[in-house]
Amino acid sequence: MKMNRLVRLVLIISAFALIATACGDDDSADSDDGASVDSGGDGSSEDGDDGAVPVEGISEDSITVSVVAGFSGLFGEVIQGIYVSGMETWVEELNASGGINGRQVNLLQVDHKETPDGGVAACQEVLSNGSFTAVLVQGTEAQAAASDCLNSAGFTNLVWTASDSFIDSWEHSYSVFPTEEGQGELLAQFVAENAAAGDSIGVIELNVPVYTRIGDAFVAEAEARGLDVVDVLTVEVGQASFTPQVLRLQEAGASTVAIFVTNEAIQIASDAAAIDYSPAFTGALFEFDFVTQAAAGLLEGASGLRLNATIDTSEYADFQALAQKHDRSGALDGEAFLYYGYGLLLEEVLSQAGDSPTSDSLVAAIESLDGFETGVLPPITWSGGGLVGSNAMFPTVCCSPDNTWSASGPPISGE
Amino acid sequence: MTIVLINGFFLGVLYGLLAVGLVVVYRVSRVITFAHGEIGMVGAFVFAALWLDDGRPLALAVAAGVGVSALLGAATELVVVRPLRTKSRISVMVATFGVSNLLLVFAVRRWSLRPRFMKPIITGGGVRVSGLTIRPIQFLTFGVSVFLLLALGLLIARSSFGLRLRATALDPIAAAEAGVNVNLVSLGSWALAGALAGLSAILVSSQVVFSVFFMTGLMLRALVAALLGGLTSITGAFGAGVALGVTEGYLGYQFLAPGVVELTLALIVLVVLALRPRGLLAAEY
Repeated sequence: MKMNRLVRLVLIISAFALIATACGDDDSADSDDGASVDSGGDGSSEDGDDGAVPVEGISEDSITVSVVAGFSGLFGEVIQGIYVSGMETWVEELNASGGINGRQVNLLQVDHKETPDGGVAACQEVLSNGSFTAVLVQGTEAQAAASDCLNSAGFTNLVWTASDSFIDSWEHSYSVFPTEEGQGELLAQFVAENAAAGDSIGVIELNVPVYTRIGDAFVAEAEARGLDVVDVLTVEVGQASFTPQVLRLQEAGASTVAIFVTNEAIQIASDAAAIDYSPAFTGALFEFDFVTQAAAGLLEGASGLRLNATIDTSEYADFQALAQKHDRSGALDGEAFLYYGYGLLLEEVLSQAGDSPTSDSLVAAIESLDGFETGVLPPITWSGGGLVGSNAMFPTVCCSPDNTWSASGPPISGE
Repeated sequence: MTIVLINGFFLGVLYGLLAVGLVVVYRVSRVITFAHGEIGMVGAFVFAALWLDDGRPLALAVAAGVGVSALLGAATELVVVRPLRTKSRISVMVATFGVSNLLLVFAVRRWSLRPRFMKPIITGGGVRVSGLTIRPIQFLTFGVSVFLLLALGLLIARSSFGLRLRATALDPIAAAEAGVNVNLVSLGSWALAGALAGLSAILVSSQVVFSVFFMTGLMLRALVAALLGGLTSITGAFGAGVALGVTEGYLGYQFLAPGVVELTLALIVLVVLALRPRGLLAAEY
């Protein structure tokens, strides 16, 4: 125990030291970057032969970017497969076609281990591994801790999503998707727009922070929109049966059940079927193809919103062809498609950062995006000054013949 | 309310079935094994790979799944438990926890974390009881459980292996002096428990979300059932499992606040163990 405390103390002190160092570097980089840009560099900023000052992560022929995810955490094996199929396919294709402004893109995998402590350690690694920027593509509390730490260090990064409480205090972390609360509100809007007269809603949310944040935001917005929320029930991780909960909602007359769970959705639907209860299922965090494929028809008719396009789109077919061209034999699915979308977004940002990228030009590039379309992610806009790139999600319905989700329209934006 | 009680009964049958495996190991080794669920999980995935993926005959796939679990149980005894026999029981229990984690890591790498569809080994419309559909696989699980209780009871009480098993459980040194091959008995009981784990997992796999973690949550309840039953009584553990399932269903329906079910079950365990430290139905050897 004493040893643990000692290690933790050393880590904290190291973290502060690194952050302080990084802040100092960034300040100097900021001032020097201007000189680099102003000098009208020819792209050889690292050489300094034109008076330009080196920019971290940028060399004459390469741009280094950290990709932060739980590569060794609980989901490590899955994440690794998705990363290789999605982001490495993108970067190989990009580099094969000349890279960005003549520079090859070099991706560095940084592991946040799915823990907040791991997130802070990942942040420290990003700050010291010579990266120009970082994309945080996955995780909940771990990625929030990592992005928060990078933000504190003044290091510009793209994070897939975060809660309102983080976004409100950030200046250098740009969220690609709606915040967790924003996702809940958007779902309430979607449900309200599709609700029939007399519909009443039951809610089941997993007792885990990210799930309850989205679920609670959904409930608040649904009630604000005049929807009849009859009950909000919390379930636990590893719960073997949800019969008590679905029975409660059946007795309460819920015609729509919004579930904020992942794998548990399968058992919830199965238990509901066992009591002849067939509400319209909607919700968040269960709209993954692997969930509905394991459910084998139990979630037929469920609808909802998801962050990336479904795999019945032409964009996915293009991605699939590209992945096959690059001999990807691993996971080719909606999640790999999402990671490919991150790559396309990163490509646009790095391209817009100019021939002589600097931290200033990176920020300018991010903040120049206005409705940027990839066909994978919803349109991204950071030009208005906000840190949230998209306030839209893709409507989707279950299921295609292979039990994957189908597109049910263009992305829906928050009002 | 009747629905949740009936559902709780069949859920409790799963808890009880898994608790029986824990008791089989404990009776001989005086060790609570934390690897029981994962040993069964690997067997169930082998079964699924053969039956669903490769289209092998059901009986062959079941035999292979149960066999793999039996081998894993025996290997655990041989490689982990036996070398630690002279150490404290806590050391052995921690070691079985390590086995559990190793198997999970292997399973995640081999079969990934994602859930997959698991077809029940028998299908059909089921029987409607008080508004709840009881599926054929649930009846089969109950039937198999009752059969196993009887078979294990006879094995322990009437067979020569049972006699040696009881002798080893009572006093391994005296049993060895009397000519009992204690190592073989211990190996046999771990293999038997492994086979039980495999069979249980195959039966359970289509009744819950089938992922590499599908046994983990259930084993917590099974452990509670085994503790309540007295850790030495097969019927006590099974009965406690059923009671636990029914109680959980009732509490889950009556008290909706998060954590109430877990807290109440924990209190029940504490009270029972405070009043009857040997459990409700501890068996004599």
